[in-house]
Amino acid sequence: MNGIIQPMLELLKIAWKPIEKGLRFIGKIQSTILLSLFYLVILMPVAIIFKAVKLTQPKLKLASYWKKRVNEIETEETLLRQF
Amino acid sequence: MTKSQIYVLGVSCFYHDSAAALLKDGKIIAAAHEERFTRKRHDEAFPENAVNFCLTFAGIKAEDLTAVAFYDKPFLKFERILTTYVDTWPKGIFSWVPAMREWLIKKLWIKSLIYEKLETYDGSIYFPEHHIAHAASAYLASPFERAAILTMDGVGEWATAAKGLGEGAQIKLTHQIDFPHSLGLLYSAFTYYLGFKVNSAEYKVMGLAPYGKPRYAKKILDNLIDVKTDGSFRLNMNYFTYHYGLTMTGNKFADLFGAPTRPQGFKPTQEEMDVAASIQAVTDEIMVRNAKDLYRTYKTPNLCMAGGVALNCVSNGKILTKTPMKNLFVQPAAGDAGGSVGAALYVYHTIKNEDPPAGRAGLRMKNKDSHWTWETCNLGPEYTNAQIHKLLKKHKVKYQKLTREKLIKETVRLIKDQKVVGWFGGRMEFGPRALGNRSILADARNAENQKRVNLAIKFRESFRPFAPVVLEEKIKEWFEADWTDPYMLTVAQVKKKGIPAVTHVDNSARFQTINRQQNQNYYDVVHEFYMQTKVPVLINTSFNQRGEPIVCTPEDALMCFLRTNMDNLVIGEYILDKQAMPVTLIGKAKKMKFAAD
Repeated sequence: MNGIIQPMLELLKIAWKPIEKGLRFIGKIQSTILLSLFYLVILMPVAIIFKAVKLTQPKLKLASYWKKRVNEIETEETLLRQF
Repeated sequence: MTKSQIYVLGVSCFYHDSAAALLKDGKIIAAAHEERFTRKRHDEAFPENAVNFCLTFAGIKAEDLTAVAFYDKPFLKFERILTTYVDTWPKGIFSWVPAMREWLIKKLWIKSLIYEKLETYDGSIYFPEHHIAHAASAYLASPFERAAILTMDGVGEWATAAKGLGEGAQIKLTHQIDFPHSLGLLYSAFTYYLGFKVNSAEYKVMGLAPYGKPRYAKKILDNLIDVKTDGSFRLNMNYFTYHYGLTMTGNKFADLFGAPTRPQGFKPTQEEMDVAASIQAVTDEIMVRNAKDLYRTYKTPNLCMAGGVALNCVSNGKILTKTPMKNLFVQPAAGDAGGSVGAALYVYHTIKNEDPPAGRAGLRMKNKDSHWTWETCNLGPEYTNAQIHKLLKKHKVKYQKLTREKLIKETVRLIKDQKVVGWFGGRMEFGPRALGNRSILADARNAENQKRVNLAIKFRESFRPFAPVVLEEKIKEWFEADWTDPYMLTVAQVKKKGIPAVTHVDNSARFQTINRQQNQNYYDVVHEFYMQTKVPVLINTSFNQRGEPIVCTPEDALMCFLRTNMDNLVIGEYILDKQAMPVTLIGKAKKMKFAAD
């Protein structure tokens, strides 16, 4: 058994780099297709609604572009949050 | 390690200039940029080498850390990116796929990644906001008990700028300006338009500006940016593409200035110089207005600044000369690398330092025992003479070993003989500037040295100015400055003639002051040069060539010395002469190439 597994492992080791390269390439194509579809199909209706809502917002003339920050009391819990 | 010791590790990465910093009982004891180890300029990868250096320096393992702090809130940043893509749909189609791939594979998993890299660490990971980290990196490292705070950069999560007050150990940022309106990105847009690399060569635009006249400043203010009296601003996004595209500016921007975006490596003409001068003038105006407004609001002459825009030395100089702000503290690594320091300091002062002495108005005051004031940038690795000697032996190079006094005298003799000397010793600097431990030194009296060091040693553009190092006690005599600046963060006018190599066309210089406590050997060289020539000024530029990170190890220094046309190298207690170097080794060193920045 060992006689078969050992050379197979060696072969896999040699072939791994081109296999990995190939798999990465396929993965890139797949992710490009999926992400593009997401952008065109899912994001489009969201974008239309977002822009429609934005149009209804009154355009204010501001004296300053500095925006007040919402300052919550910083605690261990707020600092642990990633959002 | 005793039980009472608190170690906080700060990490910044995945945008540009990743870095790590280690705090021990409230004091930064080690900090380094990842690029110095990987030799990849502005490396944004997880700072594995920098973290390892920090832990090794402290003699601790990951499990000994009390806390780890990351310099922003990744999910909040992701929210901004998604919202921007929705807002700009369908224009963002081309940048969407690469951006999302990065986020989904890497950037959303930072917490897991940190645990994976710090194998044995099982404590908490904290995520202070990006601009809080910037604010903390400046205020909590400053000598002030009360100061106004201004942070300004490209972008953090949503905020691109923030302001507020630091009092005691507390920071309160009261206002912010949100993406896409960003002074940092406006400056980067011009960097891109002028043919320089974004997030890398902004300082070249600053260096180019004095050659031009700000004849486009009005055009910029009329069309690109609306600036209020308090320094707040809003960009006209019709001219920009950076919020959805793979470029910074669009055709409309080019039409406004009557010429297309310059290709990278374009040789600047008077036109480009005028554009650079114009954006610099607008930046100065915004920074000055903000500083004045902060003074009006908080009635304090102390100002702390951080964020990439705070590295604009020209604007910093204007703040000191044109506003009531008299004490300016800019964190020397003000960009994203310094976020690692800020994140660690903020976590320590907010939650880990539980027993600070009570101060005025019930505020937690900066703990005098544990509060660390920034006193040096020398926070990186250091190498012993034995290590250097081993390297020199390995490469079979000829060297002279001298005593400290003789080494200083010999260095001065070489500089006086118009030699360009590499100067390597002590701990590597943290931050973008070489401040006397990884420097190239030359005679500032010789105008030719500006061209020679630019073209033959650094292989960079001829218009780039050089910074002077000046004895602290001579600053007022030689420069129009009543402040000291050991970190090379401000610009002032040169008073005396006689140092043309460091005097820019507008008679300004980005100086570094030095006293003996800060760096004994470095000070002694400048002082000895002064004793012999009556000029207390030398050229000090970073020890690297164009596109290369500042040298870190003795090997990096030796290779850079051999690759370039530097004449001599002072490395630890050894001195090397280029004439005596083996030709084969020079040939080997010259094979190393770095992508132009």
